Amino acid sequence: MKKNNFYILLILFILSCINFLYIVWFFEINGYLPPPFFYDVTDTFNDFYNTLYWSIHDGIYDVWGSVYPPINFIFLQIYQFLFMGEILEMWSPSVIRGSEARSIMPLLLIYALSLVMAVRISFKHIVDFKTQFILFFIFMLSPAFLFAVERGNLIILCIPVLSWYIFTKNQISRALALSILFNLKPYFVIFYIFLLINRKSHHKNKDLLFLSPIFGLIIFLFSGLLINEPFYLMPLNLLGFATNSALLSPAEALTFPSSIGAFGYLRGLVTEFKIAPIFGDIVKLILYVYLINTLVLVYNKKINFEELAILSIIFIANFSTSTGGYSLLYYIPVLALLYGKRDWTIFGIIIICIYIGLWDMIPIYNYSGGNSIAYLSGEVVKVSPYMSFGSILRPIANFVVLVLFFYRLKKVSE
Amino acid sequence: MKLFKISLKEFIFLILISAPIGAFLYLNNYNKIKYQLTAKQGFAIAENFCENITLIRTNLIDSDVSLISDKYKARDHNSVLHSDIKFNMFVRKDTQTYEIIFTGRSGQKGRINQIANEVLNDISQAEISSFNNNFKNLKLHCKSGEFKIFKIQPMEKINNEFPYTREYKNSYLCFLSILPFAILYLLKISLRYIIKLRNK
Repeated sequence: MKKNNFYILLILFILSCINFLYIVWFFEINGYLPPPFFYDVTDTFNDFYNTLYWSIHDGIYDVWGSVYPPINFIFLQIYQFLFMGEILEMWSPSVIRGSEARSIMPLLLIYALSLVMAVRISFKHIVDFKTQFILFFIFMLSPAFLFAVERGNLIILCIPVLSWYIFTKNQISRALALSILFNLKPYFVIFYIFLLINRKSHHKNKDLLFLSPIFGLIIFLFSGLLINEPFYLMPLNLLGFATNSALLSPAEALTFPSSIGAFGYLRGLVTEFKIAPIFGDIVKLILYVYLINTLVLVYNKKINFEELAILSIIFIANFSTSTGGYSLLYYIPVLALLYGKRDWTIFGIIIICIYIGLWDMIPIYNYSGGNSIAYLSGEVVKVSPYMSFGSILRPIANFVVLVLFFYRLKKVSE
Repeated sequence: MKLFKISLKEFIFLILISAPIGAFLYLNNYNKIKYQLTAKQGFAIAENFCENITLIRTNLIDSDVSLISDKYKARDHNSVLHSDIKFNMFVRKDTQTYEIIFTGRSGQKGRINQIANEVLNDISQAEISSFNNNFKNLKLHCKSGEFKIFKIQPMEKINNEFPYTREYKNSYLCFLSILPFAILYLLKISLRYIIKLRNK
């Protein structure tokens, strides 16, 4: 059985390589990266450079209105100090990117190390080193990881911490990991909410419930003190971000979605035929019915820590379009738990539909593009963006994971 | 709830440690100001030269501005008197302006003004010198003749009604001053909880 699993993973790894070779071939021919990479080919790495620019300029929370907690800016200030020259005099993120092109290299190395750590922590006691090695490459070549790298998003730093949170047995260490997660991405508070509403497991998680918000607050206040910016505005900015429905354009929302809620944007993108507005509402209604039922289940049943963690990750990946498809990376520790439980159905759906990028080789809808200067090739290119089959499949697979896990938990708890 | 309570002794102890830090943070930040000065770059221009050329417009100084910037940075660095006035200057290519930014304290307004004028004067001199050396006597051919065509369009200071702004608002300063107490209090209760946990 173990040998079979290894060969299946090896096949999946080969499929990932085929997709990666397709990306390289597409780039060589066209001078830009194919979908599901961000359609604005001039904007490569700008999630990183935008944040980096603000980390050394005044007005992070009052001018820019950042929703990133201060610890992100501390990381970037240290990064700038260690790996970059003087950038204070540069007046825009793209100028920094232009003049410090090599400065991205250490970040790519940190991303690779983060993934190595995540795989090691998650799979250490579950599979042998050879299988971990294969899994590392499957994850590294996955669309979610490559997409996050192309954006330069700091989300990758969360994965080893998330693995640490799930796989440590020490409650203090777990509380520390959760508090760091709160401080990297505030939506990790969903983990805490799930622990809080799962009343029947309170006695087992009480130390975590007490310590994690306190640790989180200490890290938040102390890092805020270090950046010396009005960081108390961050929760207000976050509220504005969460309630701003016009934040993403249809093309942005459908580039790399993780939630079927993004299908509501199809109406704005598809112009050849009319999609009834009710389509988006029905899809959202179905999604929210399941999300609310999940919350009710968590409230009523006794669920163990690991299952609660899986459910929280599924919830984060499904509930919002504004968190972005990056959140699919959080499935790495989930896959380890599912592997350990021999839950091959959900494991298979996640790894085949979400982590294998072959589906993005199939275009299903072309929309209008234009000429742009591609940052990676430095050439003026004619971008012909399209929506790939993967962009439709991933949110559906993600929703199926939610439904399957929901019924599985319901059945087990009955 | 018991865990959140602290005795009067502990409270006084925390206040004694956090009050000087809070006061330092407040006093160190309350009078910080920012002075921002913008000036349009100067150019060497030639208009309606020959038949096809309606306008030639060339920067007088570009990367040379860093020499002036470095001079002031080095001077501030070496001077004990104004070591806490921070100076920054760069050319914005998109707006074709010089951006000069000082951060200091409200008591240093006069000194900042003086340095700002010196910087502007230096830039102006550098532009004139660049024009004299590179453009004034530059002759261009048109038909059968050679002509000196360049004129200087000097740097122009853009008036800002409120060049001085406070670095931090009062609400942030108050928040900053109670922050050390809040952090110490949270550390205290988390430490108490961990000790309790270890003793179980």
